[in-house]
Amino acid sequence: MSDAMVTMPEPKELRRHSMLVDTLIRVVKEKPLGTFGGIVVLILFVVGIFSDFIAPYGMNESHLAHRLEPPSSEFLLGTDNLGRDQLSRIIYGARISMVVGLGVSAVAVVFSVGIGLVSGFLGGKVDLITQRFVDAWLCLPPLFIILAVMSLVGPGLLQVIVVLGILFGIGRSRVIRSAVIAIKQNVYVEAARAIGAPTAKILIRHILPNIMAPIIVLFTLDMAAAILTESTLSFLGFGIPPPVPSWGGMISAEGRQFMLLSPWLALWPGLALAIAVYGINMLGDALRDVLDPRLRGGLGRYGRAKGKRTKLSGTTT
Amino acid sequence: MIPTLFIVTVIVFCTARFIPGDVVELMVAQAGQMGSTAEQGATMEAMRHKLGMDVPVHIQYGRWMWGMLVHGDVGKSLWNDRPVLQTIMQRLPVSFELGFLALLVGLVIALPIGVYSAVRQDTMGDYLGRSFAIACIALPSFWLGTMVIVFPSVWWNWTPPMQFIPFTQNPIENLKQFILPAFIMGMVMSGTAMRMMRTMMLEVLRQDYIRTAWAKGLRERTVVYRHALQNALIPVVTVVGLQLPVMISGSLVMEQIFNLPGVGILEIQALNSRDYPVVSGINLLMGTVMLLSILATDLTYGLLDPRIRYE
Repeated sequence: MSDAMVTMPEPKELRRHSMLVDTLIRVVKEKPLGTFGGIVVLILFVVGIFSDFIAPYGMNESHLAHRLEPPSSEFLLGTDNLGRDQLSRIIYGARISMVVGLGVSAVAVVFSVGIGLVSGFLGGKVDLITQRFVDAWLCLPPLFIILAVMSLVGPGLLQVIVVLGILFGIGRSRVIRSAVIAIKQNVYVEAARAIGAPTAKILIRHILPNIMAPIIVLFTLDMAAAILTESTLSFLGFGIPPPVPSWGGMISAEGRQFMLLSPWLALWPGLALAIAVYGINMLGDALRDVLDPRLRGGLGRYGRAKGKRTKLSGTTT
Repeated sequence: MIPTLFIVTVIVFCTARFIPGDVVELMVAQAGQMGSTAEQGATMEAMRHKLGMDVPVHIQYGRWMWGMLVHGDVGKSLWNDRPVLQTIMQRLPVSFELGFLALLVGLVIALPIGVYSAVRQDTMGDYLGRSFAIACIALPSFWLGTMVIVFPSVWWNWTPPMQFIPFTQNPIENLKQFILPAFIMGMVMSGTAMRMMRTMMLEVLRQDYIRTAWAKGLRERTVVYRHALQNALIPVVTVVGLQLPVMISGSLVMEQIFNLPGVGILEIQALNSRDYPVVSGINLLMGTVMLLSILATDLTYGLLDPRIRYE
């Protein structure tokens, strides 16, 4: 299933394929752990999208004769207190995690880019006021405030996505803002303004393409954080309500109640969660190293700077 | 800092106050009061007035701020009439003990492995250390907590003590109770700190003064600990300082799992019973702690690094 990444054609004259493809090729070539992470993410997506076909049983299909059974050939990972097949529920849980991860990241990108662009580009009073709000926001302990907001809007998949998306977005806008401020200094922005380009056009044509690198990195890292936070929320009972097989909720509801009778109920969902988050983080780390070394916060290795300086010129017109 | 704190109070107040589900309705329902709807309406009206909830939200906010600034009073619990500050102060030592122990565990794990990883870069030990760090970041703490309770009890018939024992009563039993959650929280935190420690050490080890130190013929121990570590630690302090929110959030989950009566459990109870003053009190307190810790981190930075001076 790594075909999608490996079999990209690479003749010299086709060098202008999109930045995303370019990046993926570099990840596969240079970062074995990142590639592994990419494969995990791919598996998560495939399982999430095709869970209806992969899962042996329905997600809420109960076999009352087979309650709390240990793993067997019929139920590979055992069954829970209602006789539901654990493997199927974990497979459907992958879908929930995928939707949460992608959804939260997408909402977060919209918010962080929106706030970051406006605040960083306009500067002055707008920046000052916006940043005080962001400051205040970052001061609040994340889980506490998320819990308060979640009980404000009530539990549910959509609520989790919107709330986490906005919350993550506000925090991440800092990174986007500083990227925007750095790009703003460039001569071509000044030139665009000199020929009378409207602000909106400068933002979209000149600034936005140049901050794609941090956006992609933040998207990936947010995905891991979102999946982890959602499962924590569901575990505490503030996330996605029970009949839906969220990995966090499974650990809490069936797992903790019946943990002495059948310890595997809490084991599998957590394992799935850990592998998914680990994979996404590895991919995110690799993407960060390849795309935006500034975000790394220090010198990585010496002597691995392969000639790749013309990155910025490829994306602007 | 003052405007920031002001905005924090607004956010905290609003999120708590707009939680749907009226506390008064909940109370009336709980009291199981009989009577006509009109009578019930009257009782609810009276209760609202008593709780000061019959005025617009901005006036409620004004009263709340006034009470805090002038009397140092964060409000009273809507359910049992006890001052919020007092309730929180009772719970706070538990959360702080947990957070402090976790920080200690985290640093004890993170610093040596981080330094070792950097000094022996690209060896087997380095790979093991780094994999461990990433595993620490990826493992959900609530799952680890659950596993720690489940498997020992299934295999060896042993469960961690669930009845809370205050430190003043029996320090040893109390520490026994805290060590597991603290260890899990510390592990989760150590991942980030370890990676930071490694990166910083690598950077410092390539500086000219380190080469000078080697050239002088100093022992490895002296070079690493006296010359490199002291300089590499500075940014790590920042990271550790900024880990405080992770600690606080982690303590909420751990308190829930290990049944420790800290601030986190109080928050969840208050949220479920719509006890707004308690919720806002806790969030405000946590926000202030965060703000102070950010400030403290900045100041320590200045103390540790002679190149940075605050006017």
